Amino acid sequence: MAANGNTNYYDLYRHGSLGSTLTDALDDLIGAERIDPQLAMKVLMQFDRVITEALSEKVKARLTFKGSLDTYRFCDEVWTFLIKNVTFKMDGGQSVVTADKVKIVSCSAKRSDEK
Amino acid sequence: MEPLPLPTSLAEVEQLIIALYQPNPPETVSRIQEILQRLQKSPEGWQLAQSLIGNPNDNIKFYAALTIIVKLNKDSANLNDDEAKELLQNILGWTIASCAQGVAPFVIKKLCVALATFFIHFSQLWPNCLRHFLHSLDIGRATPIEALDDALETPIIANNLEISKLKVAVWFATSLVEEVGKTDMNSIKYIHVHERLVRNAFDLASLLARGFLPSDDAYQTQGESLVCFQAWILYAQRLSSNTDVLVTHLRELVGPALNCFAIDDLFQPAAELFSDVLSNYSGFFTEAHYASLASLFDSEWAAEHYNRVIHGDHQLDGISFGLLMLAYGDAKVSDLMCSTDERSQRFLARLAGLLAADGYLVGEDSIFVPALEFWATFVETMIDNIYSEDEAKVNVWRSHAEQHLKSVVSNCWRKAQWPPAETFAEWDSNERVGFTDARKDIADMLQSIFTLENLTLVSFFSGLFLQALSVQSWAEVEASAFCLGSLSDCITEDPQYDVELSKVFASPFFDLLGQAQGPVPLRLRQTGLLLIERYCEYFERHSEYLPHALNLLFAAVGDPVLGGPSAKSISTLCSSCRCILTSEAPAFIMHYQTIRSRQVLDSLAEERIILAIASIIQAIPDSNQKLAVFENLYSIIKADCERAVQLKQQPSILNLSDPNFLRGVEQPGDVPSADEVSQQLAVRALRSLQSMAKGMQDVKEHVVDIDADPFFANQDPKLSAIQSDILNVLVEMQKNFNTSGEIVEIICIIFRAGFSETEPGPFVFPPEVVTDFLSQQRFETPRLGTLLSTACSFVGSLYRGPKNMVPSLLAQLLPWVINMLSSLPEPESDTEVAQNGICFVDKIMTRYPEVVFQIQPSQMLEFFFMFSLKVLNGKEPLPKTASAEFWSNFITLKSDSPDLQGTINAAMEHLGPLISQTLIQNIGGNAARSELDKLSDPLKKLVTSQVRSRQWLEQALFDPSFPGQQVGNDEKSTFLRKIIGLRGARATNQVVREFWLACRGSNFSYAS
Repeated sequence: MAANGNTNYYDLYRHGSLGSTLTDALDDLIGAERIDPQLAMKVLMQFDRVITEALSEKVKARLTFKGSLDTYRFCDEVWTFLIKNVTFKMDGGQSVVTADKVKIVSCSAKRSDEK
Repeated sequence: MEPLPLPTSLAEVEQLIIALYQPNPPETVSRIQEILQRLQKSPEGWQLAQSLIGNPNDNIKFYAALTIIVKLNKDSANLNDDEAKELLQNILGWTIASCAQGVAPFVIKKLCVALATFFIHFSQLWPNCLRHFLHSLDIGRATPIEALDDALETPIIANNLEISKLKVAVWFATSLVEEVGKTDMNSIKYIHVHERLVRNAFDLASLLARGFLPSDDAYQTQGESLVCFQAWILYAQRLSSNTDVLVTHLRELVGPALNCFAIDDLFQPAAELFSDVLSNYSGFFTEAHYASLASLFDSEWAAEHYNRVIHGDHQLDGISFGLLMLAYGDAKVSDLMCSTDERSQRFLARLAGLLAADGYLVGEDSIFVPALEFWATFVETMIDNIYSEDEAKVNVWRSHAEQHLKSVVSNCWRKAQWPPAETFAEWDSNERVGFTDARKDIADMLQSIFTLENLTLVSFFSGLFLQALSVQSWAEVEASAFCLGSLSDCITEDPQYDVELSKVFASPFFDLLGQAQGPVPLRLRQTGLLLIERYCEYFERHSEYLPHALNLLFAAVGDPVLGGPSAKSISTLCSSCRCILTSEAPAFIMHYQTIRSRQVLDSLAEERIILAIASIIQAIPDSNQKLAVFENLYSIIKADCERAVQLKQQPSILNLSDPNFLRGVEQPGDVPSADEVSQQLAVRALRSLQSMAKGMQDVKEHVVDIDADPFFANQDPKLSAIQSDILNVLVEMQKNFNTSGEIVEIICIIFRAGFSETEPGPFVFPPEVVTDFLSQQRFETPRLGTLLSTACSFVGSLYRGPKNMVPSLLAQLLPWVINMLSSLPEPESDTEVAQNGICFVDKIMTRYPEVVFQIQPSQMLEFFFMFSLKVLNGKEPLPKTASAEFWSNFITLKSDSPDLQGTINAAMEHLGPLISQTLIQNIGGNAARSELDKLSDPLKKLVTSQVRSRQWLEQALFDPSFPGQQVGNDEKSTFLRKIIGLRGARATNQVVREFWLACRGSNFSYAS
């Protein structure tokens, strides 16, 4: 969850499918000696920034969900919610999605030292 | 390509630089750049810069400054202290001379960047850089650093500076903080640079204090001072420690910066500075600063600016003042909310007023969305405080805050109103999207306010709805319906809400809505239909309004614009209220037949209507009646299927004036071939059947008695006959359209719809029927992967089947699956087939291992094990993941039967070394980084459940084919010791990751 280097962006999206696939692709390029690790690091830092911005600015799809809040905690600036019997309603009226248990981990868009 | 030769004379270099800044083809520019960069990086670069700086051409001077920066960044380590000091004297001298000669600002600014770069590399030689620079500027030449001891106090020097020199000093201060700010504050290499920069705080404050004073250069220096001030504040924010001195000095400058607001020319940079700092570093300002800002906002001057934001042209005049107010509001939101004094109330009222600026949302009014964001924060803060503060305290401010919320809600309602159709038609796509997105933001806002206002909010909108309806103000009716619709997820079953909703749904509006040629505009008809859909739970409770609502919706199905949304609403409403509507099912089928006989419906709308009717049929309690109505609807679709087959077999019967064939034409006006029409008819008919299957799914949860007799044993003969008929249709369709993957896919969805059911139904086929259907599919069948995936789901549904039949059914399917896998030319040639095939065997093995180990001929099993190992050693991520899961389950496979356990043990004895070898090849560097966690699972299982795992893994690690050349025997032994010691604990994943990195080499440690 740490914010990286001298930038203000979290690296948590690297562990999502987009981030891990990008890392695999960068590994392949390094393995083929087509790029060096410094460039790969820069690409990942750029990814941290761009994905954060894109998710906050470009994504307009929304969903609402209802459920029973089972547990919540706030530790080291990270909120964690465990919700049971969750129903998700998508924007645009696609079918409803249900889940027995959902864990939401969220951290502030602004890091504590920026506030 | 051969490198180009370097220029041989200074004149040639100068020519190249001039050519670089002239319009030239990109290839020429990149060739020139390549030559010049080689020159810059060469040992002669310093000399080149020195020679070029004296040239009268500004572009050449600029290039000289750039060369110095490049050399400093590349070769500064080669300079000793004396050489560095000499270099500083030179750059300083050139900068001061350039200032005196009136050289172009871009050159002087680049020289300032060169000085800042010098500071980064030699801050120990130039700790008081700012004071030294000011002193040299004042003297008019580069003075030795040591001469600074005798210099005047910095404020005196700054006050003495001529305005042109002052401006250069401000440029330098800005470059300094920007360039140093780019370096890593936590790196040991730069930590002292930052410390030394902060020590310049007093000199900076003296310089900017002078910079903020009025000057006779058309406010240019004051403007530059504001930019510089902003850069230093944001730098101070990023410094985690040692900022007290800097912040104290910077805070002294807030007053002078505030005074800049009084000057029209400086309003923009000042507003940007204060908005930026309030938004990102609100702790910078002291209470006294906030008080000054509050006074500013309460002044006549502010009233004028506010007026311009509310009534002015946002494209022309900008919204900076509005953004400044919002930034202040955001920073002080809690204080403003809890203060009941007049000034705070006036300010909040103005912030609410920002939601009522002239013009339509987004395209004309650009302050609305940022203002709405502020009010969203305000509501969140209100909710937090109400739940965390004492009631007595809350009561002091709550009524005031709620008053503002009322204005916010009213303003949002007004802004949500659509413009006249002709205005909307003139907007570009961005404006349209912006408007609809802003409406979504309004809906979110109303949902937040609902937490506080509940029934009051619903009553407010129902009141507005009726009021606007009485005067036929359609835009207002639409906005009210939209706002009410946005609250549908918040409203509970409380009868109080139903009272308010009944006022709306019983109003004459819905009579008007039904009139296709009536006065209600199209947009409002859409919103009205959506409102019905959103409140389907209300209609469940108030069935008296349901027939009317459905009639309305059915009437709109034929409309080209409203058809889609109304079909969607019908589907939602019928599905929710299925139990109330059972007696209406035959009438709905007739209604559907009438509509489709009149026109060709949109395919998606038709599917939704069929789904709606099927969901009502599903709720009919009497099974005979249910099947009779089902057959009624099914017969229509079956006829469509038969027509498609008939056309495929006899293309000559195609008659495009017959509406039944027109259904197979994708775009009106197209003249497709009979084959295309038959294909389209088949897809469309099967999709309708798929909608029926989905509609027939039970929404109630029934208790599943896993010990009870399966329902297939005593199935109603009529139901069996229908199932048999449906199956025949499916087989016939697949046979006639045997190259269509889409048809296979739809058939799979139809089968799957029955898998999840626990009660008998037309689509809940007996397991042997499904087994027969699947096992007859050949390798050439399109979308074989989907069929295999369906087989996986089928295995999961067998809990409801006759238990004694399961092994025989699976024994029929398993060879089919393995045969499909063995038909693949390479394990990875069809990843979907490989993945689903492995998943299928995995599912059977974990539930019915005896089926797997008794497969005949036994070579099939051997083939599968080898196939799965090859996949695990391959590159395709999805099959590889499936294989890792399979081996993970295989390694820990247990059976109660001693015979079977013996077979499993023997297989493990044989396969253990091969599994270990494959896993170690992957972990030793062959796997992709993202696969490591998945691969750790079988490794952990191996360690915990197999006594010989150590020996197998050791063999694999020390095998000559081990891929990681970067690790030695010691590291391999350590890795083995660690994973054995961890006994399958979670930490194994980390050890695996570290070992993979060690095997790949340090080049791969760039990612966290």
